[in-house]
Amino acid sequence: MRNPVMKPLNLTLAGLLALAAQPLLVDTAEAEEVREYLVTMARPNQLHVIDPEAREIVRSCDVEGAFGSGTLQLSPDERIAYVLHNRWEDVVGIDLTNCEEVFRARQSSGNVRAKATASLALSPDGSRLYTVQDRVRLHRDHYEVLAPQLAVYDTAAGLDAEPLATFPAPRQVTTMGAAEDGYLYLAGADIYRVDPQSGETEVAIANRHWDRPGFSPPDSLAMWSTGEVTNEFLRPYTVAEHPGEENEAWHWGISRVDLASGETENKEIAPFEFIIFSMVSDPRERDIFYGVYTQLSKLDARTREIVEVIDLDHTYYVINTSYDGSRIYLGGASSDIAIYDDDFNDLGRIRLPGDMSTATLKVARF
Amino acid sequence: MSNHSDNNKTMTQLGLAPLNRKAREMERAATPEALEEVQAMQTIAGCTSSFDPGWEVDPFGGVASLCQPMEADLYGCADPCWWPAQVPDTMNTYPHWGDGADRAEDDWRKLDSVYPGGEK
Repeated sequence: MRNPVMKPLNLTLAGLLALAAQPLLVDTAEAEEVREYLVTMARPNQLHVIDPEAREIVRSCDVEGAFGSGTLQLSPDERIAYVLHNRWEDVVGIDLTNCEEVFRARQSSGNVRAKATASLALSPDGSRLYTVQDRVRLHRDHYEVLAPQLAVYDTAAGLDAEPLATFPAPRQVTTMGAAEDGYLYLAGADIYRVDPQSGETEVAIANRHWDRPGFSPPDSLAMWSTGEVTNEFLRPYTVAEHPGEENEAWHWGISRVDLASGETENKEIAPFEFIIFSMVSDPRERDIFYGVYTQLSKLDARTREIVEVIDLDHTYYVINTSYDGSRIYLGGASSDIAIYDDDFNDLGRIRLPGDMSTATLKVARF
Repeated sequence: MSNHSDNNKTMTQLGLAPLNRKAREMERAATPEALEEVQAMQTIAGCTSSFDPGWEVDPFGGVASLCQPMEADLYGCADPCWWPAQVPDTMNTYPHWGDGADRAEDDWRKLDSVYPGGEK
C-alpha cells in the first residue's frame, strides 16, 4: 500500500530509500500493536483474557458446561484457546478476540465416560488436536475401566467434532506437547514419544524406568501445559541420590523436550528444599528455571543452586513468564493472578471472579 | 513422595505429638507392625485412585509445605478427587457441590455437608 504522503515525490534517491523503508515501518507499526495477554479459566465457567500491563480483565467468555480442568492450549496465531472443560470431558475452542465458540469435542459417548487428565495438545500448524482419554463404561451396577486412548481431532471439525483416529495410549498420562517434527510427547510414568499418524509409541525420556544406579525413582507432577513461551515441554521431578545412605541428597530435576528440535534432556538442577508444582525456564537463559507453589523460586542449573526464593501470600499452582522474560506470572489454585519482575519485586495482583483451581495460565500475543 | 528411612519410626519419634483422641488412635495404629495392614487398605475410593485418609503430610513429614491456606487449594484438590475422604465426589455423585461458591476464599461457608441420596 502506498503512503499518500509519498505520492508527490519524484523517484529520487531519497524517495527510493523512503519507499524501501516502508515495509519495515509497517512491520514495526504492526509489531507495536501486538499485545501480550494472559489467558486462563476460572469458576464457574469463564475463560478470561487479561492485560498484564493494565492489570485488568479485558474479556471474559462464558464457556457452556461446568468448570474443569481448565487445561489450555493456544492456536499458532494465539487467537484461539482450546480448553479442557465440562469436568475434564469436553474440549472447547474459543476465539479470544470475540468469545465465539469455534470448536467442541465431547469425548464421552453413550455409557462410556471419557475424561482427559490435563492431556491436551495442538499440532504446531494448529490443524490437529490431541487428547488422551481415560475411559470408563458406566454399567447399572458397576464401572468397567477401559483402556485409555489417544484421540486425534481435526480442529476444523466445528462444534460436534469426532476423532479422526484413536490409538492405544499408556496409562497415567497427564500433560502433552506437540513438537515441530510431528511427534507428540506425553508425560506419564516416562516421557513418551508418539507418532500421531501411526500411534507408534516409544520412551523418549525414561523416568520410572530409568537406569541410574545410586538414584531413587523420580517423583513428578505434571498438570499445567505451559512452555509455549520457550517452545519446550518440561516436567520437574524430585529424586534422592544415595537413598537411605549417610550421604543421601535430594534434588530437583527436569525432564525437557525442545519442541523445535526434538532434543531431550534429563538432569538435576538444584537442591530439593521446598515444593514446586510447576516450572518454566527463562526465555533468555534456558538453564534458569522459575518454580512456584507456596514459594516463588529461581533455580540455576549451571551451578545447581537456588538463586532466590520468596514466600508467597498463598499457594499458586502454575507459573509462566512474559516473552521477554522480564515478568513472572503466577496463577491457578485461588482467584488472583500475581505478577513479579525477574528480581521478584511484586508488580501487583489481578483478581478474578472465581477460583482457577487446576487451570493453565497461558501467555498469548495478538 | 516419602522418606523410606522414616517408615519404621513412630509418630513421636518423628517429632509429632498427638493432641486429641483421633490423633492418639492414629499414633497407636502407626506401629511398624501395622504398616502392611494400612497399605492393604489403600483402595480406589469414589472417583479416584488416590487415597488420602484425612491427614495429609508434606514430603518432609510435616505440614508446613502443604498448600496454604487450604481455601486456595480446595477446588484444586476437590476437582481431581485428590481429597476423596474430605470433600464430596464432584466427578460422580455430587457434581454441583461447589455451585454458587466460586471463590473458596470468600465462599467457603456455602460449601455444605452432603448426605447419601441427596444431591444438592
